Amino acid sequence: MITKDTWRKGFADGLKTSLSLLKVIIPVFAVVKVMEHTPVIKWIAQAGDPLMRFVGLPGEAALAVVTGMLLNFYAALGIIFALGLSAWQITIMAVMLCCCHELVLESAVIKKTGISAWPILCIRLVTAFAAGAVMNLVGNLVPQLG
Amino acid sequence: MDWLLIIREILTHSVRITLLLAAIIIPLMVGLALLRDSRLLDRAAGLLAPVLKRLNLSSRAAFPLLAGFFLGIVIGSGVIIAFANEGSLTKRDLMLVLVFLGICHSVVEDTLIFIALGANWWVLISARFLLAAFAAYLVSFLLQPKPATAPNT
Repeated sequence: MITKDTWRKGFADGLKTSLSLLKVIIPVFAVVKVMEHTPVIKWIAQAGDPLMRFVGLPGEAALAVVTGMLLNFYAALGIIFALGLSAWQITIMAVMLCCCHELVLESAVIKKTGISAWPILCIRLVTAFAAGAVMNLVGNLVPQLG
Repeated sequence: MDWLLIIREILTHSVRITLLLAAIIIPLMVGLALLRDSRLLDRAAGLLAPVLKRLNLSSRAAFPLLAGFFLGIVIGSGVIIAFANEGSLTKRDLMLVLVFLGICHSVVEDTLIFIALGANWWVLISARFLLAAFAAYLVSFLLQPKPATAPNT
């Protein structure tokens, strides 16, 4: 039965849930923003440079992948746009980044639900790179994909 | 680096995130309460039952799964947090739902963005969905439910 209490409870639930999420999101967001302005990401990207060959992307794409995976999905899009990739390379990038992005923030949110975020983080990383590698092979076998 | 600029960016974005999140989550929770009290939620969960059964998930997992799939992992987690207070989802349920959602969430927004950049949309959506389903399926074997409730097949 829908009563006045239904509306009241829904509203209270919404308020409580928003608050508990914001308590995690805002501090983590602040840390992420500060990290975006430090050279840490560039160092990680340099280390990841050779990995890009396995997924069929140029070394410079490492900066977009590391930025998107760790910090900010949208910041990565700007970098991708500037790289001038082929259609299939953009699709590889899309699958990798959609599977695995904003790990710092999303892991903090996942942890808030009461389970460990590490297994999910590892699964996402492995899935993204495995998918990228397979798609690179497919792209080499089927040149029409571009 | 320019600290003032960074702090200003953090503050303005925090206000925006707060408003955006409240604007999505409060109506969603009101809608959820309406669905629950009108018993429509149980019927909606019935539609997903075949998928959930395969993973040995309770039908309670359907709503966070749907919310996260379309609206993103933050919203999906919000629904889980709201549900968790009622103790209706086990740790195993949570892990499986979040493994799936971790890989495949917010499909409308993410896909539209990459279409704009020139990606192949059907490869993107199907790859993501299949990878997420496969990962959750594998994890469902690792995390068997208690033997008393597990089927012997």
